[in-house]
Amino acid sequence: MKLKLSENWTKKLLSYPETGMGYQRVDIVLKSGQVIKNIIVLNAEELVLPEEYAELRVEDVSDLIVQKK
Amino acid sequence: MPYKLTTDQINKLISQPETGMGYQYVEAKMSNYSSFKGVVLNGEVFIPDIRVEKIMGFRSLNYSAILNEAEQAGQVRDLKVISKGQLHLGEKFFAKSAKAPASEAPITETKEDEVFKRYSPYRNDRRVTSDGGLLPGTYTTTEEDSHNVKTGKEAMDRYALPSDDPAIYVFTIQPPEKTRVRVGIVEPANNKPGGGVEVIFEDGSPRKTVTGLDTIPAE
Repeated sequence: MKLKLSENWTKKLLSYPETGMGYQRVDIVLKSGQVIKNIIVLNAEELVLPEEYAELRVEDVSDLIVQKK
Repeated sequence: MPYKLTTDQINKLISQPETGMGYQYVEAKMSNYSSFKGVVLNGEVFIPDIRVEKIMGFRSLNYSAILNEAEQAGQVRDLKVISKGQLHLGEKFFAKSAKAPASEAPITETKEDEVFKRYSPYRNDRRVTSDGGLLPGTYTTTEEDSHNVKTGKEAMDRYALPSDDPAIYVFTIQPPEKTRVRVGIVEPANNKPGGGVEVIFEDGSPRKTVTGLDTIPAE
């Protein structure tokens, strides 16, 4: 499933290099303290999440950490 | 065991011609005063000839793995590039391993009138700025490599793109001479084979250097 990010997250992601053409890999830090590792972001605006995170909302995100390739 | 080289040794080697694409034959004097002939990959890692087949004969061992396995710099005392006739190694090994991804490649500069392409599933590609530039750290490919791509699906496979949507939008980048880039080969990723040429624009590309949008068929 895909989760559309708000513009402030997109702005942050665009300040970091890509992982490959058109995408980045990130660790998602949730406000609960949980970290979801190694998630793809397409075009700096869409998180590609496993089904188990179908309930996740963008408001739950505390930080996005762009992985170095 | 492969050996990483010092910055001085790397600078010395990259000022000299290659033996083949991505490698040089050398004679190395080691810190323990032994001496080996062997090969240097990408100007930065030395493999003694007696270790070449063991290290590079594995089908899946790529350049990243060789670098990870390499001894830290300092074991090699001195290096001298030797001619191709002074050493006979299976060059098939080097052609394979020299294919490092762009993220591990040294920075080079673009030439005058060089052209690059970027494939995207998105008409509103966020890495292309509103004034027609590229943001720092943006991936593209060479115009030459783009000739291998006729459809959005082929672009997804060749550049290992993770999106479900075919990359049917094509941007053309004509950066100024001496724009800083890293050039490498796309590694398999995202269940795609890769294998295309990838070029990272280290500092991006200035305004009015990106044109398009062209479109190609999805399949």
